[in-house]
Amino acid sequence: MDGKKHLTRRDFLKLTAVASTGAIAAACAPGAPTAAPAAKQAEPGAPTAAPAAKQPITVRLWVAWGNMNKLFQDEVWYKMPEYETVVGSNITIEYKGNTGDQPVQTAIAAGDPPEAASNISYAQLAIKDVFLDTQPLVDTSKYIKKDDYIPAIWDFCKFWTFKGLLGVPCFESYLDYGLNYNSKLVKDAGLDPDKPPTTFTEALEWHKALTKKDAAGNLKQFGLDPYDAMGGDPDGIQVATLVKWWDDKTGKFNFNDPKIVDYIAVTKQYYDIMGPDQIAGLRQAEGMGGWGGAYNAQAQAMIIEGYWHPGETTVQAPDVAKLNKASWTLVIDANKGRKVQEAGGHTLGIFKNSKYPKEAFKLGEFFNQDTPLNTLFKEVGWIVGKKSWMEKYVKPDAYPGLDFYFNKVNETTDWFQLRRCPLHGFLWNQWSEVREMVYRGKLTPEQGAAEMQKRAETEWKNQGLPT
Amino acid sequence: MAVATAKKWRLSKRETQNLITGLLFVSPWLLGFLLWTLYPLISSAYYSFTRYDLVRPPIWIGLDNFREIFTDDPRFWTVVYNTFYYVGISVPLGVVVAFLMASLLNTKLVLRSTFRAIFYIPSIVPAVCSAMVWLFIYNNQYGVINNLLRAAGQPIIPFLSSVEWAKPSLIVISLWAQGTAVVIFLAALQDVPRSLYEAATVDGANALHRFWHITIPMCSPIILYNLVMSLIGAFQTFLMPYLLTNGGPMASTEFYAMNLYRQAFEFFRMGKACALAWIMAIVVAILTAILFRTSGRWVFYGGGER
Repeated sequence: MDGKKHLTRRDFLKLTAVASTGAIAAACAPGAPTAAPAAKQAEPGAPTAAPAAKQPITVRLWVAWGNMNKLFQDEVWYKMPEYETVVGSNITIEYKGNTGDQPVQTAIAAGDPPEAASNISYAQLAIKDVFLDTQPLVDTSKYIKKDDYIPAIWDFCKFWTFKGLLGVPCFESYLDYGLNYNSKLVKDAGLDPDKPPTTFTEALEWHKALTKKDAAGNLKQFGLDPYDAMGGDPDGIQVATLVKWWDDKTGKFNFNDPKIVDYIAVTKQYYDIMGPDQIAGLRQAEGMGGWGGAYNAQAQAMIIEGYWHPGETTVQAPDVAKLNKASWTLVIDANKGRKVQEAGGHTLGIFKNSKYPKEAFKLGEFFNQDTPLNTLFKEVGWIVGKKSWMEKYVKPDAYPGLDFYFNKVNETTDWFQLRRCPLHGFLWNQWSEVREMVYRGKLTPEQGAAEMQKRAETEWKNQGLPT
Repeated sequence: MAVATAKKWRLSKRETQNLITGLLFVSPWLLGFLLWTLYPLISSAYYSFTRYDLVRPPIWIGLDNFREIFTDDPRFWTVVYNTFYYVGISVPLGVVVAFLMASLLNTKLVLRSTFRAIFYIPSIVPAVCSAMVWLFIYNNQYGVINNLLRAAGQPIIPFLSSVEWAKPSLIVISLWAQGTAVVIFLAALQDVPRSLYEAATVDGANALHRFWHITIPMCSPIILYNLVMSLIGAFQTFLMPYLLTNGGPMASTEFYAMNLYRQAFEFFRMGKACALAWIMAIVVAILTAILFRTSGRWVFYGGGER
């Protein structure tokens, strides 16, 4: 008891506990905004405060596919003079590829969405009213004019319950359907590559000729998996049948239509020839499980794909791409002679609750300039249906098979827009199961169509979607 | 007596200080528990009675999610069947295999330590790597087994692409990764008193008798433990089927946890996903309780009491 204050072991432990708790509490506290608006950062009374527009701004751009990752890594956009003119050097892009619906919706829910996203489930998000209406910005834009775009591409930016435009065409947005085929495999099978089939029934003959098995019955090569790539998208139903499985005017489902039953019945025959287990197993081989992978591996001779197929195949499998030819997508017999096309793709959706939506719109304007469009076409194989650019720069023979998507577009008799239904993702999942139940003999085509109708209507009701 | 009890609950100044200090020390864990376990648990119970799509505010719909799951969901009963099939076969089989493997490793085997390591390795290999290995084994085109069949001119076995084969193939994979259970069993086996075996041998018991009447009863508490843990784990099976089959073919390998994941993160039906989670939690709790209730008949505790 010398009167001095000692720090006892107990006191020390108490202090440590308080300090560590405080540190944790501080760590849990919301952080300072990483990119506060320029005006708030300026010191009051600063002598020559830079104009707000010149303050550094970071625009977050999330894209579901990874095809552009390298271009963004190499920062090719900043080197283009148009970037300074249209966007401004104070704006940088924080890009995330391979970032789809899940992180986007989580970010929206957290109240901190990215400024823009592309190749996401537009309809599913539009019904939740998260997009900025870009119509007023388009109206005053120097760079984006409605008349410069193929009407079906422009209309893709509209949506049932959404007033105005839910973005701008961007990155890739053109024609989504065509029958692409490997001319060498076709010729080797004794077929004429200059006379491609136009209906599923005609293509079935090609499929038979192109499907090969070994002596033990193991599948080595096949003609067409009607549900691969865009054929597997539920929209494949409407381009084949001309029946909108979901009517975006009435909000009603039409899976029960007899034409859809016919479509299910004829596609089943393809699997009867291949064997459902065999084709599913072949898809598990490396390089053949992904979208269009079996075509690139020359295990599949025909594929239902969009305009991007010739360009992307050139990038991914150049030797196979050289053999590619394209023609009209297949329809059911009842629609023989109809030339069907669907349009849409990577709209740049801008989130209204993001920090810099107007700056994000500038990115949309920039990516519609000729130079970035040329880069995307050359490096990735993507096209935006912007007429002035296409006429000036895009050579239809740039990639084998691409000419079909240019030279024949005016012959289209029936147009559709891509993925209109808010339940598109859900129904894609259900459709994969139901069509498999049909081609595995568990359901008849009629039962399959009825099952889809039932599942669609039930989910619509249970999600509380508007009627 | 009442005074004594009341006094017991009155803390001295020193005791209060100690309590506060103790609470401060455990506060990091406590905060973590409250924020990341208790709050999500309670909120998931609330969300299970709502329609919630993550973006818009939740709407209270009472028991509608549960009604929909049991009466309207086209895949629910398929998923339940798949899960019970998988759990019903993989869990008991897994425990038996792990116990037999441990028994084998408990003998005077040459390179015993090496074998122990080999058996344990699958448990520490990341699941994604294991999935790739099994893809190579099961693959129709270049898989080990199917290449042999093809070389022999025989039809291949569509391990993961056939409705009939897919679930059994996944069960085989689950048996492969029993390292943790083997290690636990091994510890239990080494704890069985030698004197019991010696006494049984003197009484004329052969190896099978000793295994049945001594080894199994003495290890039965650990068997119960592994059974319960495997049961809980099997109900949550997700990664392997997700990586290998993504639920196919024809939803034949879509298990409960995968369906729950789809509802939450593919269809963004958080309310329904929470309802599914609670149904699973209740079912697992009931099955675990049944196991404990019936364990009195077959679990032998050396001390005579549980």
